[in-house]
Amino acid sequence: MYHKPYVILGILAFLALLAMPYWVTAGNIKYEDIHKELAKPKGVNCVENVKWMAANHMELLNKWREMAVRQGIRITHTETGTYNVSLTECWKCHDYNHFCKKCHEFMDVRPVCWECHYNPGMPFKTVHFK
Amino acid sequence: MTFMYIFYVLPYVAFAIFVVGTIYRILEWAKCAVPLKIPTTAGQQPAFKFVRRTWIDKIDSPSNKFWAFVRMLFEVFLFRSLFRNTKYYVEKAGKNADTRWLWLFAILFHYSLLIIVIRHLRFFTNPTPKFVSLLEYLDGVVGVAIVPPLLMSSVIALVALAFLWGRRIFLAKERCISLPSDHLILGFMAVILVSGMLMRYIVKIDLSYVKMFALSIITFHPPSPDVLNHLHWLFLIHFTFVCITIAYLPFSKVMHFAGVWFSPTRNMPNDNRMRRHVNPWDPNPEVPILARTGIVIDGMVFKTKKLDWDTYYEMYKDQLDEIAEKNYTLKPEL
Ligand code: HEC
Ligand code: HEC
Ligand code: HEC
Repeated sequence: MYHKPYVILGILAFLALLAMPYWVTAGNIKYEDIHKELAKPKGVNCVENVKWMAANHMELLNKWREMAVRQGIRITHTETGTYNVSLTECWKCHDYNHFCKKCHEFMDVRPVCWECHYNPGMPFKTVHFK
Repeated sequence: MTFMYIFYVLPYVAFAIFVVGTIYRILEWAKCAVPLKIPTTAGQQPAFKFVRRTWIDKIDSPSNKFWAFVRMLFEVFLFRSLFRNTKYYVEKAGKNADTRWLWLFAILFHYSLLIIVIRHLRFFTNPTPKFVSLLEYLDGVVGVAIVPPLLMSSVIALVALAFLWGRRIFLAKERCISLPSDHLILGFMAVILVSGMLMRYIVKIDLSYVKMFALSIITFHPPSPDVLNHLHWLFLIHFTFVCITIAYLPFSKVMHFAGVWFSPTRNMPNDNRMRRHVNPWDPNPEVPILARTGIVIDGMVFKTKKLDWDTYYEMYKDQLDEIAEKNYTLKPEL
């Protein structure tokens, strides 16, 4: 083998790059079963089928936004019942900090919505539900 | 559904093939002697004091190890020699056409891929490091108008890939020098990119299980059957193609990521006139190589200059005998 020191250095650099997930976190990666940690929602059904909601809730909110703001539809009927077309509807059954935020932090998703919209995780109360 | 555990084993197999294969290829290259000094240069060498030599000349015609290293960095991070790409066939009245768009799309493609790979760290780390979130945020600032934000790196990668593949499909000369393996790796890239973007923007999938699956891979913590059963078919396609690609890398052209460091035309300082280059397998010739009748390698004598039939036959015995078996007459040309 020619230029042994360079070659060994190169191989080590290659292995170090591959191990990137470990050193960028200083070896601190923990396995977490997120679904066990989410707060239990109130009620029995979500707005739509739960499996569908887990994957599509952002699409639903997006659709609702358009319905409410552009078409003025403020009430919608789904298979599971009748709902107000509003972000605040979610807080009837869901906790913010221990449901939405928990999962979003786990997934590293940061919805921009809360720059304008209220959620119960905020320190001030604007909407009251029983 | 125990067969789903195939998907848990797959990445380990793919990575083992990738790591072992890559190191094997690197060692093979490291064993190759470079008998001659062959840097290609495009700049002014050190000469008389009054011959101007800028830092660009030092990079393009490095005269010592340090500048050769700088040139290597320019090659690896900026694709310096591709930037000099001008059309290699004469069409317009003997003038070279500027085809540096190849450089543009190549560099866009590689850097987008880098950003995409770093962004994927969000699935493999928990908690996610700040720089990964920041990178994803920056990647999405232009595309915030839609939910989820449109990430520029994937759009750019897709456009660049279309150009790089289109080049091999629509330009006659490039099509003619393209091998099936060139199309294969581009096809893998296309499947991975398109399936990934579909998952993000169109066919929505439950990402929380995907992250749990990814964490189970990286923490060597076998996933529960529940996690595996919740994986979406589109994710499985994306994931399988990534694994196949990773396992295929050591056998493919993509090995240029390691090979570029071994290219003698890039990594040798252009110091032929200052330092004697010693041929590694012929370190101390008493008689200059061209004046000798032969070179001894592994105990075999190879005649230099003019090959005679006996040496030629000795060198290619297997092939020549095979040809002879098929009733071709073989005779030395006189
Ligand atoms: C009537 C009460 C109710 C309302 C209103 C409601 N949800 Fe739900 N949601 C539930 C229930 C119950 C579940 C199912 C929990 C389970 O089965 O684990 C659920 C599940 C979910 C899940 C899936 C969680 C998982 O474990 O994968 C998401 C995401 C979700 N809801 C989002 C929303 C959003 C966004 C809104 C506002 C548009 C909303 N929900 C409104 C009751 C509600
Ligand atoms: C720039 C501020 C802003 C941001 C950011 C924003 N919204 Fe809104 N949103 C509004 C305003 C203003 C309305 C109109 C309120 C109305 O007509 O009742 C609205 C209305 C809505 C509505 C229907 C009405 C209601 O009561 O909820 C939904 C649903 C909605 N937005 C969802 C979202 C989602 C989801 C996001 C994040 C992806 C988001 N919005 C981000 C300002 C914003
Ligand atoms: C089981 C995990 C989970 C839960 C619970 C959850 N989300 Fe999400 N949410 C996600 C994931 C994952 C994404 C990103 C999806 C993507 O990128 O396609 C997301 C994206 C969003 C987005 C779009 C933001 C963006 O920038 O892409 C909004 C808005 C949102 N969630 C609102 C909510 C609200 C409101 C709740 C609580 C009622 C909630 N989510 C609960 C997992 C969850």
